[in-house]
Amino acid sequence: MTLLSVKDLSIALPGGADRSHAVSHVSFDVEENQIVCLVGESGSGKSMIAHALLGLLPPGIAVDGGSLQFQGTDLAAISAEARRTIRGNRISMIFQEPLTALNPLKRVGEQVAEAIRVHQGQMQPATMKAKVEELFAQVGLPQPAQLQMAYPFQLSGGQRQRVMIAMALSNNPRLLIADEPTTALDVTTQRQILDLIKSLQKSHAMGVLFITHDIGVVADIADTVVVLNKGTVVETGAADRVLLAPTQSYTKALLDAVPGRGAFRASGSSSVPILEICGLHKRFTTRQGLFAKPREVVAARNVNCHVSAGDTLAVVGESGSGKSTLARIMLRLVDPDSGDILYRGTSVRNMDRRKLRDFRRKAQIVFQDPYSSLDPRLKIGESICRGPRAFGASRGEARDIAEHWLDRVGLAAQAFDRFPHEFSGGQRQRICIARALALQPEILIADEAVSALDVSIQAQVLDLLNDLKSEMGLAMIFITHDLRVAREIADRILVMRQGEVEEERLTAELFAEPRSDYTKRLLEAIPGRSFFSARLSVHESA
Amino acid sequence: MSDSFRIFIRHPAGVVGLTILLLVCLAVLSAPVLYPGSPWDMVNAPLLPPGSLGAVLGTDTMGRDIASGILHGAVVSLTIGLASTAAALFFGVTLGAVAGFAGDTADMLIVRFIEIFQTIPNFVLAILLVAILSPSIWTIILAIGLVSWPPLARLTRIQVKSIAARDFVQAARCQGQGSMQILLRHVMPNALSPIIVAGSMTVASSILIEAALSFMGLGDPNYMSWGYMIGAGRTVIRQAWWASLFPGLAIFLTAIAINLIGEALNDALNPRISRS
Repeated sequence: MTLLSVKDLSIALPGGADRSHAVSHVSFDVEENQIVCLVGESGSGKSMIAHALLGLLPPGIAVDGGSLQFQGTDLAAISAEARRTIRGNRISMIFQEPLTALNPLKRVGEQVAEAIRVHQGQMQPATMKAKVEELFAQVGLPQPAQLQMAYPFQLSGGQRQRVMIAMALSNNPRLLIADEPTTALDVTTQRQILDLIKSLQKSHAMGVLFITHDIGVVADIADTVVVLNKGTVVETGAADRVLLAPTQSYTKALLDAVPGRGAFRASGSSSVPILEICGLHKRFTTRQGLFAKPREVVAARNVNCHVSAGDTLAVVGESGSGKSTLARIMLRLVDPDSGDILYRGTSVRNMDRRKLRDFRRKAQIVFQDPYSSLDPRLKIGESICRGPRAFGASRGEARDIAEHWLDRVGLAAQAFDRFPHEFSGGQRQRICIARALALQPEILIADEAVSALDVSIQAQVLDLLNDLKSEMGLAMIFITHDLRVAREIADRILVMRQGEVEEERLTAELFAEPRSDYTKRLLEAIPGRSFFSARLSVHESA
Repeated sequence: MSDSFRIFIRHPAGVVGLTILLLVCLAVLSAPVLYPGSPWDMVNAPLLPPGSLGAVLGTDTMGRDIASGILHGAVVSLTIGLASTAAALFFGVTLGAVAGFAGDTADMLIVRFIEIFQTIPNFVLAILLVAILSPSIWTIILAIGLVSWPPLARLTRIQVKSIAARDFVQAARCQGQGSMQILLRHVMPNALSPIIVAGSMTVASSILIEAALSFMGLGDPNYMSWGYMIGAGRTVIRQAWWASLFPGLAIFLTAIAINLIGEALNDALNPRISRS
């Protein structure tokens, strides 16, 4: 039976937006006991649809056509009061960011109890407690009785998301809307949450509307797929059909953009290393008060690695593994506790200010967040010029260098006089690459440089980095949480966990026969892994 | 910046505030033309009600013209408001920027120093300073400046700290730019908007502190000031309400005008609010 039927839905944007409608004429159905995936890149309008279902659209944005039939009611036409009785009851939602979706000052058990109370009325504290405990057990939280008393900050990201799911399940919803519920999580946690959602969907016989940008996730859990592009439905159908035999070129492009399927790179050079890290130790201590015991986080414990010209080393790890700290230590933006960094045999730690400045010119970094890594008040040309100018280039020379690099990374030289907010995320990341390369570095460190980008943009930026690397003979250190991306670009992969090196291997070897259990788990957690390897063999045999 | 300017000009609070402030500036300019004599001169019979011949707003207990006092008093209020805010901004922004950018030790020392000032009640300290240094326009500016900088320093510190943690600052460091250059060319321009807004509010509070000091007889005896006029009219408020009311209104309107401007600036300089 059809649970939710979206027909001809249009959502109008206020004037001045980049298009008149967030989505237009979108139709799809969610059956009972089925997982429907809405997949699309950022800006495709997929979250707007979810928010429209629950009446959570931001001010100024409204449904202006079509209907949202849910069990005989049109959700677009009911009063706020009527919607409240459905919201959190027959339809519930889980959000992307589990930290901000929970009230930080309230115990998690109480938050779930509140969700139950709103729809089922008051009940005895003991009954309520048992109910919450049962829900916590269902979503696989350890020690459900004790955990009720915890505050959100005491839980890990995955546990918080489980609490959100428990809250969503508290009133036995018929439809669960999941808006990118695993995007903020580590890959192994993502795997667990996906498995959980899938098993709960089966045991509760719910309909699930799952919103994601990751086609690997789609391959893992979807029964039906709806592909969105710029607010319109490109393709829809059973998951197997759409993923294995897409009819639309956009769907094909999305599938092909998923990283981690190309041939392995062979490490070409075995020459002298440019940069060497020896026995690095770093721990952060945060004092929480005059008398409290300081908290310690180990960011690096006896880390050793090296790169040479033309070589790409990927540093892979989950959040908190110390991989970003490693990048910052390499540039001496953060000082290590012990150990050494050798640049062509000389210790970076002992360099005086002058030498350090020269070293930094040779070692450049591209950051993760394309929005915070450019000065919002400087024209981008000016941002790029600052580097060469700091090393004595004249205004005119610096401008020539900047224009050359803007052109080289695929932006027109006219981009010189524009401000960062006029560019998309992918374009900004190109600007950051241009800024780094304008100093003619020998080492390029990319700190999660493509993590914030859509898959299709990700592929373009990775290609660009690859081209530039071989053209300039750069030594590249690529920091990422995504093994698929690492596979796409790296000769060697270094797997880090809680500040320690788990293993360092050639990429092909690591994928073929991982040695450490942790690496095995990481590999197994890659979303859509089995699907993509199946797809690859189908393509090869064809 | 031109965007911000347009938002400011369209902001109703900004327009009202700016209009009142322009009127006050007009008063400053017109005072020597309309009332060429000294506002301290006894020009009429004492305690004339408003609307009397030759005294539009009436006269005070000594027969001094209130309208003349208000126009001439505007000079003092504006000068002291602006000059002491400039002094407070100079101290506050410099110390705050150093604290936020120079690392833990400097930060700790400066924060402790700020806290010393914050534990002393503002107004008491201002009275004390003026009383010790003998009242003159310069000591008043100094005293108000000295009690107004700590909040500005704290704001600057936290702004600089949060901007300095952003990636583009790290990128600038990697580009080989010097610390001073990074602070002045990357951090400060991005940190400035809330400081400008807080500064505009400080102008209003400085005017109020000056009025309060003059009310207590600690104003500069060479300049007519609104606070002094209220203080002088206070004893006869039941017979001659106008001697206190009009200078009080002048203070009220000027302070409100500056606060309105601050509010409009806040909206205009905050890109997130102004774009929605």
